Amino acid sequence: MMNSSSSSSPSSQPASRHNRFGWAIMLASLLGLADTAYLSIAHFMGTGVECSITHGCEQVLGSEYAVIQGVPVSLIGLLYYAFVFLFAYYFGLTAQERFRQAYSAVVCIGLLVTAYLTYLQIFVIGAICQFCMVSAALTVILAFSVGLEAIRTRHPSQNED
Amino acid sequence: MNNKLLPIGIILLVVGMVALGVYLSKGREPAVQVLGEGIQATDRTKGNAKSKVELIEYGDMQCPACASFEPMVNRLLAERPELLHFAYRHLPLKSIHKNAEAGSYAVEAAGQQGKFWEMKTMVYAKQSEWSAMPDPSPKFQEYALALGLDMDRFLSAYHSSDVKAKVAADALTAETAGFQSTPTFALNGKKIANPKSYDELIQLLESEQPAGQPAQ
Repeated sequence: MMNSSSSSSPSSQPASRHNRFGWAIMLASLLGLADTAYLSIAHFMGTGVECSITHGCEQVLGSEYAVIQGVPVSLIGLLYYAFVFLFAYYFGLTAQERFRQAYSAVVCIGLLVTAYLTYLQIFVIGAICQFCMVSAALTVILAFSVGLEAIRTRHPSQNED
Repeated sequence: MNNKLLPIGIILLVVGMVALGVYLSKGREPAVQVLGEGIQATDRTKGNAKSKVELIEYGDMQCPACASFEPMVNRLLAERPELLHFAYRHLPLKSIHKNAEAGSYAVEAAGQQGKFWEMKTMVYAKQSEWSAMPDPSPKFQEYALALGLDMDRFLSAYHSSDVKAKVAADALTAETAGFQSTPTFALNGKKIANPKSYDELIQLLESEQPAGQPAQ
């Protein structure tokens, strides 16, 4: 994973500089994948999702906002994390800029959607689902990682630690 | 495994492990949440008392999702009252809605003067006015006045143990059935997924009609 970072070719240099962000992005997206997979599978299997901390899972996941045209929002989240993971992995593997741009764009969209879903939980539904908040936290971590990575790409001199 | 296929393998592994975990834990959960008894004489009811289709709504007066279902339920009871026997029960989620119980008391207190449904609709419609108040009682009194209630009787009922007992009894039936969220709809005793539209609700109720006995 991220093995091209050790390559001496000029094109692979950025990947080696961004290693820790790449790892953070892949780890966060895998955790997000597990979180949304749990919610999606529970939805399709008809098993309940119980909150042990916030007590609002049933309210949030049973609300009209949890499903769009028959597709659970958690499944869309699963695809989102899968894409971020894939793009981050391939960026690490190939150091091709297009993969970094792809996951950066997906994370930006994810951040906006997360902000809207968090707003719905707090102000419209009036309940908090802990698994949704875990996903929100992971997306914030992803956004920070992507943002910091972009800053360091533009200012490579700051990258020397 | 080829490096290019490795991430897909990782994704499938993660999803597979989660699926296995959910599957193995499924056996420990009740498959269907069912109410012990149908509509009782003590329930607040509307619609066709002779209907074989009983729909019971558990609501929390401070729950925004419940407020969003209120117009759908009111439309159903106005347009197709013959289709079902409907009951509303209180399930104030006190841990997350500090004024929910008071809202239920206000609605039940108005019910003692025959204005249960009107008060319920008003309290839901004006939810944003009183939800965050340290003490929502003045707002409920305002609504009671607007509905033309006798204020002495309303206040007496609002603070009475009868009203508190009624709300607690409603919530207990939900607790016994394992209902933890609001709104929860129980159709002929079984918890159903919240209908996504008015048409879906009608379809669901029509499908529950006994064969060969169209609703009168």
